[in-house]
Amino acid sequence: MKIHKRSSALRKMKCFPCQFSNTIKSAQSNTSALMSASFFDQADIISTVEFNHSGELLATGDKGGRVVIFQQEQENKIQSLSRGEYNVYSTFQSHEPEFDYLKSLEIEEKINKIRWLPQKNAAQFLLSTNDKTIKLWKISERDKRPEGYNLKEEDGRYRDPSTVTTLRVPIFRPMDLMVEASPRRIFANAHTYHINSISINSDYETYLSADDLRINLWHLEITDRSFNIVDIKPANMEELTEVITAAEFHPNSCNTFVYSSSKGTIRLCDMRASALCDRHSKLFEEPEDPSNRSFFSEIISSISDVKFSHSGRYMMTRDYLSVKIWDLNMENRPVETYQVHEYLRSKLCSLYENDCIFDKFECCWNGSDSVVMTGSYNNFFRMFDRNTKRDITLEASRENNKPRTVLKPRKVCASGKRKKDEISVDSLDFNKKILHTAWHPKENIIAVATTNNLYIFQDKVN
Amino acid sequence: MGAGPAAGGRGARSSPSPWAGRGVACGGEELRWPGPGGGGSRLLLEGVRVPAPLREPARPAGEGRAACEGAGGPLARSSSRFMLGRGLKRKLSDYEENMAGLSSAFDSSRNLPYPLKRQLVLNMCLTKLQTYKMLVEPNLHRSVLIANTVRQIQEEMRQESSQQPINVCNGIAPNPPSYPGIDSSGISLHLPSGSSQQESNCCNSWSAEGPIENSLLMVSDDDMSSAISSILKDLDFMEDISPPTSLVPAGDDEPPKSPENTCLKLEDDRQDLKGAECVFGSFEISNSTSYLKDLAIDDIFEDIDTSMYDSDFCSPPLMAPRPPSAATEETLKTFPSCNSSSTNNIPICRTDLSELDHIMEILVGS
Repeated sequence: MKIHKRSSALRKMKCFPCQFSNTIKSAQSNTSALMSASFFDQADIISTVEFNHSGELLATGDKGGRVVIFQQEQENKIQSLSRGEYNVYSTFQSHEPEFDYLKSLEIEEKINKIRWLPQKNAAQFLLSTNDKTIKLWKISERDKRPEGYNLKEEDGRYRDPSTVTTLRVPIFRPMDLMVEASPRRIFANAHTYHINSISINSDYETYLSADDLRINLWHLEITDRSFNIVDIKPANMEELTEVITAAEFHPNSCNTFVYSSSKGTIRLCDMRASALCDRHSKLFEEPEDPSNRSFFSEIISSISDVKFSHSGRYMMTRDYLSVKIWDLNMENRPVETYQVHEYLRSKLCSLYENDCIFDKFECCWNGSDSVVMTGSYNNFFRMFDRNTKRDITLEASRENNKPRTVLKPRKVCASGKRKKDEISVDSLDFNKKILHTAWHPKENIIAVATTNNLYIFQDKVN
Repeated sequence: MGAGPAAGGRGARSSPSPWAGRGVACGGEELRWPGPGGGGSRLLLEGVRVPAPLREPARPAGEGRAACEGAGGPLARSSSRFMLGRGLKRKLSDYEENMAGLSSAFDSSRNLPYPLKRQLVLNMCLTKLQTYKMLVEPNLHRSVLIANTVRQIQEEMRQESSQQPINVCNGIAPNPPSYPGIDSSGISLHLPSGSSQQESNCCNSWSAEGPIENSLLMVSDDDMSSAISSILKDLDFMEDISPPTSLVPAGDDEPPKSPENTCLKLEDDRQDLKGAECVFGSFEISNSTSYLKDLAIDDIFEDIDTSMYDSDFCSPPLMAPRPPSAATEETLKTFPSCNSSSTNNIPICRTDLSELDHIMEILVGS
């Protein structure tokens, strides 16, 4: 049986909204369920999901600054053909809300991204970041403790030295497993704008952090300085027309990284070229399709996520309506484009009005780079098989799915007669959006985050 | 217990889903986020729109996003501020229950004229930008995207206006909105209180009337003189050419006028206001051109009622700040009265005209 403890150093929650929600939680709910629910929601909204390199651990971050790590049970593969289930392994408070006194701004504790480091010893390391600060966490297990101290009693009290008559060597005895998370490094005060991405380099010594206008390069061991490698801030802020939306290091080349912009372009930079990578080595941009031009063309072309394939040959970008696969060798257009929810193209004005058009969907590759997955509205998520060119829409909801149920493919009807089992566009729930998804690096296990629920699916093994 | 493999018949093109929902936690239960919420309340949480954090002021559009579980989603409840104005027919469509707001109308109606659509989008953009300015820390990404959209629309309007020689608006200055100094200069809300008052008046009046019927004619003195000089320039230009037929006000299929943008400079704020309809411009020029054509004919002078062409007359329709509707009415009222007196009325203050009058008086007097 596993016990998880919060790191004792960060137990207290001081911010006002958190205290408020704490009060609501403990009080009897005389208020309507709707009101109390909304306060619970705030801290529980999942903001990032990430498998580690082996797939054994799954980390999630939420709006309340907490990180919850799930671990896959190590089942005996011979006995059962299905993979192990994921259980909660560790929970800790990664970031606290802060107050910037200089600007009178509150800094949200919401975890924007989590990235795992590859495992080098018994402990696990991950980077988690909010809008301003990145932290390196060490998650370690303890399942033995020393017993038989000479000067201390078992409960920790010091013995009277006069009572010590013999000497003994303390021995390790097994104990209940305890998982501890401790912050090892805190990388702070390097970003004026909100951090949207972090990415660990393939050298496993450095990583980059990107905000709206700048990208910084850090060394994992050094917290008091970082190098600015990209700066797109104009001299006059009123001339600003483009911001950085995501950045990632190449999985194999430690000198290469890409960053995407709000104008739908991706720039690939080589750090060997110069210290400040303001001039890109490659610019990936698809010419606009004039037939699809609308007032919102620029807004929907803004890239919300960029991910390299595991092989490093391709990269995938997600804009509002589509997923595009780019070959790094070809800059003028993507090699594959998949429409995620084209039926929304005729609803752009309404989506703009309710701000849904600014939703930042993420995307992910499977382990073999043959299938890509991304989320949509109404708790739908989509998968595209690059080889067979088939796609599927599935729903993550608890109403229809008991555990071990096979998911039924869904279909959205754009217009005209609605067939049975189809959902019309106007009955989609735009509050239920799946922004964060993750795919196990080796197996066909996926993690899908709805607003405040996490779903883990695996493919049926016959 | 588990369902059998999905039959191949499900879904026309998609393959049967090989994905089984394990959603696992201990004991095969569906995995839940280990939040503090009670089990029973969980079902209510999905689909509840999380209200904005306490530090943000409530946004007017937020009302449109009230919790809705399966009741049609936020598309059904657009902000009521964008209701269609009087006199503008709404197209009846299949999704009538969702036609709550203009954005729905925008999306579903194919017959909305392009300038109207453009004006709608521009209004929405400017409203959003204004709302963001009121926030302590606006989202830079969104602000940039919206500002680019505004610029793009303005550029388009400017190109349209520059193609039409009758347009008199003094050019569009693509004033980028000033981003609150997020970095070293600190947070600054650039709105001086006076201008924000004006703006909110604009907003209120805008919402009260349809975007086409509303013509905001708020110009500063500088703009007025520059508008007049550009009118004069155009008039000079047109002496050389025969009046093209396009001078007739826009065809019947289009709503009254294409809205033009008159940009207003409020101190150093450089904010963009709503598009202003230059009723003044197109009406004047169409009449003045015919006047110019007949300039050679002496008979015309007999029809001119000089009292109307007093320089003071020009100011009232242009004076600011008036409630826009009042300004419109007054402007419209004065022009018909001009019309009744003569066919060639030009309430434009021209130095040439006054000189002519002077000469006439001298001639008549002697």
